[in-house]
Amino acid sequence: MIKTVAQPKAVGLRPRCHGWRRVALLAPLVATSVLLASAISALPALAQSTEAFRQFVTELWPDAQGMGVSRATCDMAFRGVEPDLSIPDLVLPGQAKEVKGQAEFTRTPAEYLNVSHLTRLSEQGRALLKQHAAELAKIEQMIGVPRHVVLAIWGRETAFGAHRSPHYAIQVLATQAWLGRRKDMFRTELLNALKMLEDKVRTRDTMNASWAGAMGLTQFMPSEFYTLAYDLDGDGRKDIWGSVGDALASAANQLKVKGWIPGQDWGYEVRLPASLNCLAEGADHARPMREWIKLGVVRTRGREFPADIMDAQAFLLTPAGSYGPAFLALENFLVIKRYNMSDLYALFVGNLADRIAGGGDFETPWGSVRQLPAKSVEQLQERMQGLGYSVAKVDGKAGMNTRSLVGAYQKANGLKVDCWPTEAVLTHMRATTARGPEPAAKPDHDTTRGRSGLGVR
Amino acid sequence: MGSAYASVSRVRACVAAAVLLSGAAVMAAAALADSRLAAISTEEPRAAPQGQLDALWPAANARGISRSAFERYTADFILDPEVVRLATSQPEHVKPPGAYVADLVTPERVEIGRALAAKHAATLAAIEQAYGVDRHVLLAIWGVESAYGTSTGSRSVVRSLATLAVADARRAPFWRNELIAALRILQDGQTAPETFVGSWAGASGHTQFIPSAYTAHAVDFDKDGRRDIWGTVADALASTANYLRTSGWSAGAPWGIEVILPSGFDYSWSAPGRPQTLSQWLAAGVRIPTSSANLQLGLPLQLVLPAGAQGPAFLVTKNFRAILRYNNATAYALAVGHLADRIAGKAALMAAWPSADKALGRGEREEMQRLLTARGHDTGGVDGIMGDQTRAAIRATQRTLKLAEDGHPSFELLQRLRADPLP
Repeated sequence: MIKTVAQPKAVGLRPRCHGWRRVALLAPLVATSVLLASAISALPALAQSTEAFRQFVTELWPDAQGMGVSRATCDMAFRGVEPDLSIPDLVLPGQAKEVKGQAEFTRTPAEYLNVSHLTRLSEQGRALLKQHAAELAKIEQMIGVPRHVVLAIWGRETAFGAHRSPHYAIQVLATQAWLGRRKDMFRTELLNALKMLEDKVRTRDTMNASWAGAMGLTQFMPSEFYTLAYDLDGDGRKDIWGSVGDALASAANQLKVKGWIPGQDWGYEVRLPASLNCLAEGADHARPMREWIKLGVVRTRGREFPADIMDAQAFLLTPAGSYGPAFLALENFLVIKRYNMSDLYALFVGNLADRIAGGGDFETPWGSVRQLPAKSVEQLQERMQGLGYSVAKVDGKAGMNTRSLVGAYQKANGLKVDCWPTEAVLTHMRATTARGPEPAAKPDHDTTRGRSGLGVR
Repeated sequence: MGSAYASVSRVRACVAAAVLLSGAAVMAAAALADSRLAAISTEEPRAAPQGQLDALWPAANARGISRSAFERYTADFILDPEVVRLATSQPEHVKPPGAYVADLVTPERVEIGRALAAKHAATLAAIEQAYGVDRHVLLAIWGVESAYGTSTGSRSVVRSLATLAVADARRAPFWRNELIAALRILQDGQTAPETFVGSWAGASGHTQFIPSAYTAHAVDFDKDGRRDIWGTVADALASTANYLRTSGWSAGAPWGIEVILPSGFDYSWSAPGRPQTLSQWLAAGVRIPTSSANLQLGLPLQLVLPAGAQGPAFLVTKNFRAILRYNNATAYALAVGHLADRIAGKAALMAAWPSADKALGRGEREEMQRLLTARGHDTGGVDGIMGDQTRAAIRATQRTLKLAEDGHPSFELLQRLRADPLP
């Protein structure tokens, strides 16, 4: 005899913006989630997950309503939407596959700053410089951000519009807000994205985005659309999708709001004197340009530093530790970095801008270093934290802070100082921590100074 | 409440368990706790040397004990050799968590718990209202600690603690502190010497409080002027509720739920300090097999595998941690949580405990720590205690050996390490 069980049909489990009638009847005064486990426990695993997502969407509704989103828009936005578990930066506990990370942190500097890619983009950029000369002149005049930098952002973000944004914004933002590492931030972005649909900025069919929900030619997050987008052509719309002028002006406006200093470069490739190495890397060790010059730092290819920046604060940047070029970065490097929190991103944009303006490759080639997997970087950061090093954040990303602390560890332990996190350094740290933390292993320089210049975007 | 308390409360519950299970092998945690008492003299003195307790007088006086009370309660003190023997015994064979839970969560204990839930319904409702702690958890602690007050121990608390204060040189300050707290309880008339009886480690009453826990957490719920955890069920259960609330109990949340893990699961996610939301676990394929747990989607839940990858899996809330503060052994907290669920009418565990699970004896645990240390994994010394550091070392070696990274000190792993002592 076949027992017929009423299976929870997909249609009943589809996320909607308002409460499930059955739940509402059972517990009109209690948050619906209270009944979640009992409501979903009868379902198979996949359906339990689907139901939890539906609950998540339901709980979103009051805030969406608070932002002026109508129920009809909200239901339309979520109709048939299921979470996309294939996108990066999600936390899926127990799933064996390695967590995907952003390219900025999984590739080596040489891979990320791929020369043929940069060459191709700079050629395109020079053509676009002429094609959009009028808009770019207007942007420089009205917003004060140089044309080459604005074009470089466009080139980096979408290869001048060639990259298609493959995802539906609501789907990826909801997934990130539900399961991501940065749920609160993405929840806000999701609500703003719903508002964009309500305001008819985009339709559901045209609401394409990156896996992180960034949209348009210069990849704006929904909240940035509302706060930073710019209507250059004066048609009453901030069209970062279809209007190159609007998209570039919006990017320029974002840089301006994030602190762009007109008339200054992002930084310079330099050669270091023997007395300086990667240990001096990082915004924590910033000092005026004239002091760096006094220490013997010179610009590559025999060029001079501009005379009017001698009092500007600059910091040393060695993205591959001692295995590649060194840079003196100015405040505008950090401003570009606020567009996307990565040194390599900012360096890419800076170099591409220089190339579009007629510059070329770095003088010092990148060494053949290997990028330690994120999980190992995380372990290394945890070990260093345990040893008393001022690790800013255990995030699996080998940024400036981590690199210079690796250098400090190497110096304190009599190892070769190259500031590059490797399996060998991690193994050495394991042995050190197994013996117990030793005061001798403490960093020998002050790393506790403020990191005000490195705010997280 | 420092770590000293945690280990002693462990001793207390072990004793309660041993009493309850009359004749059964003592649980794993008993051996852990016993290792802390290794410093006790194994001689069996019949009487205390004169003046041993007199040395306590200044400290007792400073804590408000009168001379007459001090003399009244300590004058005829003689060492209890049985307490010395119990405190120094180190059982080699211990119970795996499955057997421990099964022995505590019996149909009888569930049934009596339900009857008492009905009998004390009004009191329990009032306690829930006042402290926000689930009544079934209070009943379960009562059931586990003293078989609902039928097995609270029969040794004089003062004599036991005085014996330990004299005989356990290493932990004398701890025992002295408990003894003074016990004297204060008597001086204040909270109970009488005849009723102030309990376990060999000085835990007494329906829910087995040691004197310092009594001082800090006991309450007079029935407002008769006495905080009577020995003769008044309302006071005992309210005191327990108060203790759990102080330990971080969050009203309305369960202790945890049993879950089924998907195939191919990475067991390293059972390492401590990796709580994730229920949504996250569900999206990763974890399934809730039993119904009616009240869980918020966004609540942080920690994965716990009491018997390793082969046994049942649980997602626990911070309320599980509160129960651990009562007695710091995973099997204990699980037994309490599960008994509470069963009293509340919920189903038995879905997953079976691994039949081959054999808890390591003391010597084997130390051997495992030595083998792990030899492989370069720091166990924080060789003490026979499978604490967080040893379990982290087990995970590290499991990772190296490409075994399920569950941190469980299984006999199988010990054999593997013996056969292959160095990588």
